[in-house]
Amino acid sequence: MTIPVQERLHDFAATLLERRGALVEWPASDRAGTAMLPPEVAAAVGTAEDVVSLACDAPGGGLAVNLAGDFLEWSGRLLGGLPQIGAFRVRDLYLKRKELHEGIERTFTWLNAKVKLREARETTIEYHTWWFHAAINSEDRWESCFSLSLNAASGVAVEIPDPLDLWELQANPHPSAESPASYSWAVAAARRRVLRLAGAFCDRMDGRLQRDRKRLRDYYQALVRESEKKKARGHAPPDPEKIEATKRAVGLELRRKLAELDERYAMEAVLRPVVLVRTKTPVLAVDVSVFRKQAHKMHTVYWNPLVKQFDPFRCSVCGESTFAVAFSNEEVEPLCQGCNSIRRPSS
Amino acid sequence: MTAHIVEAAAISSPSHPGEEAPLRTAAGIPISFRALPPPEGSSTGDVGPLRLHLEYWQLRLLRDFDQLLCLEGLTGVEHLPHQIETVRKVLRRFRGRVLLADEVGLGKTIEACLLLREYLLRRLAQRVLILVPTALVSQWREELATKFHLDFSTPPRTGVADGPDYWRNNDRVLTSMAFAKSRKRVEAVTEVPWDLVIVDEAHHCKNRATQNWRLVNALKRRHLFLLSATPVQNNLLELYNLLTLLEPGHLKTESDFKRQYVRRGNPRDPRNRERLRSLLGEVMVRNTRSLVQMDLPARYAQTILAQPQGEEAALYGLLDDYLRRRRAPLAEVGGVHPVNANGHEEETAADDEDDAVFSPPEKTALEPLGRRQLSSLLLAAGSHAGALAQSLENVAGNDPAARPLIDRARRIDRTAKDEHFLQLLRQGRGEKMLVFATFRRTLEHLQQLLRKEGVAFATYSGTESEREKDAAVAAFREQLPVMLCSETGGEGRNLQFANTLVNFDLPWNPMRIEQRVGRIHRIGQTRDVFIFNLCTAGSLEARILALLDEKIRMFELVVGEVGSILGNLQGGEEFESLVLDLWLRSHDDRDLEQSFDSLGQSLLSAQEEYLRTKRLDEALFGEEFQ
Repeated sequence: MTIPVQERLHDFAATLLERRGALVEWPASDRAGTAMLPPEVAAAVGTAEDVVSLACDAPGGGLAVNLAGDFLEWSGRLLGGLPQIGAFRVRDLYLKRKELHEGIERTFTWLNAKVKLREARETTIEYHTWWFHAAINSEDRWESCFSLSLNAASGVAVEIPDPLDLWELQANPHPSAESPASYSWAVAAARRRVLRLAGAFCDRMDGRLQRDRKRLRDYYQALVRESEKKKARGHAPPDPEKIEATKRAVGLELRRKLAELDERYAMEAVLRPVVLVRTKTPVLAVDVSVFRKQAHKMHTVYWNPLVKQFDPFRCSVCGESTFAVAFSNEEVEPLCQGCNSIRRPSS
Repeated sequence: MTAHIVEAAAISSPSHPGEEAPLRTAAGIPISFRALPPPEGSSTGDVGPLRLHLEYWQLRLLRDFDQLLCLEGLTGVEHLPHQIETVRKVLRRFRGRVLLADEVGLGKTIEACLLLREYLLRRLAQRVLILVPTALVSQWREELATKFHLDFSTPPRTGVADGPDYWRNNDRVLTSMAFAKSRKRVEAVTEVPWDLVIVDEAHHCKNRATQNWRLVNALKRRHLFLLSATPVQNNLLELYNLLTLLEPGHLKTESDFKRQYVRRGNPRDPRNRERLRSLLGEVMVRNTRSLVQMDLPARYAQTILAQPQGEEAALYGLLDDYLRRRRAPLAEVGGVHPVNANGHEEETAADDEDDAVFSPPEKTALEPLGRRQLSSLLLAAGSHAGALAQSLENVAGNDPAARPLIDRARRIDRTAKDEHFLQLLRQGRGEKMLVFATFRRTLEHLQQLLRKEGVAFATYSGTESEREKDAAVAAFREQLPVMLCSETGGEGRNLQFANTLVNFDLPWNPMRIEQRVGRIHRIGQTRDVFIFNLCTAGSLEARILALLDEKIRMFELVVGEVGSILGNLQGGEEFESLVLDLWLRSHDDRDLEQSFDSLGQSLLSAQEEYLRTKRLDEALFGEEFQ
């Protein structure tokens, strides 16, 4: 195990145990330390002792803090008692109304509708930053962790800085008790992200599968060809019935092996939301009246002070973010260029 | 999104969480998505716990193949560089389908277990089936548990294992090939999917017409490790059959293979040797002693037969009579598994064959003794009178007929073995001596004996704490001439500074004897090793030793060869179970002697088969196959 990993494990284990009420005596420079555990923590880590030794390399009878063994298992159990949702607010961001309308005109392209911008107003909305652990199980395994942030009012994915690193961050004294409506949007965006991140993995699996399929087909087809061949000079030709039976058996076996192969390579992607941070942020909102043919609908454009730019629109079909916005005919819902071009022939 | 992933259906409205979209890769691999529910519970305004959650998942990701996870947290496993290299190779190049064909004694089992652990830790495998010869089931189970901290379920010998539920509900199953291939349960075993299947002594699957080959071929498995030091026994086609289990078509069809690689008239002699070796290199790893430069010094064994006198001789005679009176018919005791010296239940012998029935015992008011009790008492008798007294008290304490035996055993202070042991100590040439005893009572007796004689010693057994064990080994290394060890004592410790080993008693399982010897006869040992086996004349242990030492020269074999020989034994029973059966079936000493002679012949045949195969494999793969 490398030194940086050991340091990370040390910090993580010590902090986690202290969070759960343990008294930890383990200086970073020491190879091993000790911890006095409350009963529920002792039970979670699977020890009957209330004072245990800790070390990154396997200690004699103590708790081993390493990537193997059961460390990740028991720390997972201990983490179960800690909240996974953060509620924060960002204060005192300087909001500048000047030239907002010009900014909108410069940033957005209205592809098929007329828009009328209303007066800018100050408001607060939440940005939801979701951290996901994603894994794809196939013949091999792919894993990643990533975060994505959404404007919880519009559902659009935005690129904001890691909220946990914001110096303006404060605890939100009145956190919302409602379950976050952004979850379904986040999952849809996470799926797109996974497919992008795992592209090379999918290509590799494709290549392997094709090679394996070819090997199996060549093998079983050769078996069939062999069954049709004369054994040796002077021998009677092979019995057609036997050949048919062999072909059937080989065909069945090939199908079974190919099915097994497909089963082995089938990909199951699992998205696990790990942490949600709700950041209540003061923003400038500009209501936009959108006129599409005979229909009309009000949408809102948000000026995001965290990145000092406007949040894009969220395509109502594919969920992608877009600054070049088209609108559907009756519902006047935003569409990205791609979805708009697919819809156009039928509209 | 990568250009190589296509949506099969037209773009639809935003999906609901957890809904599966019909996605496929370019080669048509379906991708299903599953989203787990969002976190619940109260929220926090403190970034600390949130950072802990994020760090936790980052740590879980720190698992690339360059950093093997399987090595961390292991106790008692001395892994060698070639084993680590093999693990890396299998992970990177072989994609979990490999024939591990290291020469005997180089640690194929360790490699397979390291790989297994790596696959489990990386979550590349969850459901694992291990198929081994019956004789090796208990050894595998013990190694998995003690060295790799992996618990495996061994199927019960009841109807429960005949249905698919047992195999479906247990994610980690260790069983014998004979048990799994049985007609009544083969369907259940092959019906459920396995992520990883490990087949030890895989040369038993060399023939496509056998149930063994068919079983492995029919198993639904993602990864497959075949283990065999001797993959070719008679014919190159055997190798072809094994590799076809791993990768059908890798060596083309059988007739293609014969045409290209088998010399007509000599099925053992390959043509196109280099091409064949290159193809084999894609699915097979073979480390040889010369390749890994692992040659150990010689070892010499001496058996010391102690002739019991007076009270002691009378005790053994009375005990034999008593046990023969109280034994149950074989058919009755067959379901009770013998127990080893550590109290672990062992596998029973035959899988589906009926045990022979012999004449019933004399009627007594008490229940007949089962296999476990009988083997425990016989082992204790072979160890020491004190151990026997304790075992009799435990097993037959309520039997008035056993009372005189217990009293008599307790009265014996010094046995004939004790005298020989002390003599050995006196002749010890100043060498450090590692003394093994199975029973705790025997260890206590030896402690008293040494104290009386004024010999300083250390003790290493299961009752000491880790710190005490460390201190015992240090004291033995630095100053003490003797260390008393229990069965598992010293496992994984470096004790090569000693080169003399005394087996004060003997386990019936030759693999256990070899494990004891392996404590000092291992990498790092620079001097010749001397082994002294103490046993009482006429005891079962004496007969076992005669078999192992005189017939197959067990103590001169290379580490690991005993396992290969035992694996070739017909019937596929555990050796200690065979021994107990011989005793149970015999009526008197003459009977027993004849039975042991016959077992000796079987052992010899098994050894000849092993040696013949070994020669062939050496010729085929050469010294430097990689």
